[in-house]
Amino acid sequence: MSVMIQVSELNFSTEEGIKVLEDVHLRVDQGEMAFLVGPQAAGKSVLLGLLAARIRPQSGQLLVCGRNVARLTRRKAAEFRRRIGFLPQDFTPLPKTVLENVTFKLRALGNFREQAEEKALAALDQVGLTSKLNESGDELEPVDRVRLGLAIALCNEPLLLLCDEPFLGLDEEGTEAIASLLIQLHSHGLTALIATRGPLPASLSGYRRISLIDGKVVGG
Amino acid sequence: MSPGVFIFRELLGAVRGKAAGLILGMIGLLFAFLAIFSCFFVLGTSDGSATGVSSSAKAVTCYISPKLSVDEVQGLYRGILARDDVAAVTYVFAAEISPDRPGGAFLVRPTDSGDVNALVEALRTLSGVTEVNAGGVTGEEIHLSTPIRIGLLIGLLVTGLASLLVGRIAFLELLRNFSPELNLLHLSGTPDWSVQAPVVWLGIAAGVVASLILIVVLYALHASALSGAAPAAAAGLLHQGRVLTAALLSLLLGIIMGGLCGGLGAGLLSSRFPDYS
Repeated sequence: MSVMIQVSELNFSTEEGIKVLEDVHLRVDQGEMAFLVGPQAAGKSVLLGLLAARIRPQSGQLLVCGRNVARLTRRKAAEFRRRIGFLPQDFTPLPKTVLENVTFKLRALGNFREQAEEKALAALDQVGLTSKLNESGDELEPVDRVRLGLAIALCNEPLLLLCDEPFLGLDEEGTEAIASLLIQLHSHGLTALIATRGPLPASLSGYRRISLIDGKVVGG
Repeated sequence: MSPGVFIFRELLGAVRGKAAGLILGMIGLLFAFLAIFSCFFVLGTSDGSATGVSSSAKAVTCYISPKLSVDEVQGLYRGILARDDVAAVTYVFAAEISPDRPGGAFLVRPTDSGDVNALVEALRTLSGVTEVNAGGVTGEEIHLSTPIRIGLLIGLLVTGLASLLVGRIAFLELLRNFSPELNLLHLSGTPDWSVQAPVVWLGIAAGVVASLILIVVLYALHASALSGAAPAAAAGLLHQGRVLTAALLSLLLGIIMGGLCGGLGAGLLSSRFPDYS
């Protein structure tokens, strides 16, 4: 099975010299869904940011989707991000309809209106939001916001999905709904690395978990 | 539709509230800047009262028949220029002096020692000449006094810098309005240029709007000047050529200044909204 993420000897410090990640080694295979679990400020978001070429690496090796992220130029990093679906922790929908939220990304990437709508509808169907196409994105319930974030992340068929705290702020029912959705997406072949601080729902207990504590990988 | 055009449209949608007011302010300052710039072309007196140009150097306007052939016009031109009491001759279209008037005209500048009245009488006797008037101005004869030039230069500098400063603040406010979209664009891997270019285009659009308003004002003033309402200190308004030059150069300068404002805005994208840093 080919490797989707290969991280070795990764270190990262803030400008003030505070160590955020220390000698991190990590591997995620293609078609695998793994969970990066750790308390708040453990370095999960920084690690995802590094993997998605949102933060420039300082040292260590990061191979993601066959690309050495540490060597990407600014322009190449932007190109690389088109191959990654990313759901940020602070995801806030645009004050547009659900459909427009997804087509915004597709049109900005050069898709024509019809093509963008076709792809957006497919992505919204995947996450179960087709009944709310014309609702305003910023008025959705938390669980539907996560669904919308996932639709935006997945609409251009990325090779890898990175999610930062998709269960944060959700009630038990919402958490279970998103967990089921992730399982369903994984069953269709999606590779994903999902960061979460809380305990995983029971339905996800069979998946690999990588513990990150104080910037160090403890298990996995 | 290219990503740049799509993002430009989305960016226009973010022009609201404080950002809209600041962008209007930027257009106003650009208009003031261009208006001061065009003053160099239209301000000035033709009678020398403000410049010390002697009245003997006033031009004589010599209208010629529209029925003359090119060779005959050339012959007349050479004949007038060869006179001892003539310093320079400029051919203009008669409509530039008087709208709807056909044919051409010579603006004849006598030498300092020349007798204008004798020259007028002599020109009236020439074959093909339909009318001769003492008076009239040539482009070269409109002069601005040094204090006015200095004042205009200071005004140009102040309004230029102010428009750049207000432009920068306006774009900062606009990009704050647009920051949710910017976050999504960065996450999606949109190339830098497709976000920066629309910001520059918006600056250019603001410059073009300011220029177009100025061009409308210039031509309205030109029309009123031709109907006899021109103030003595704005003799350049009588000249279609000067007004056209002022209009075209203002449009060019408006595009450049607007582009600079937009460039400052695009620069803010990397300094205030960093990506992959």
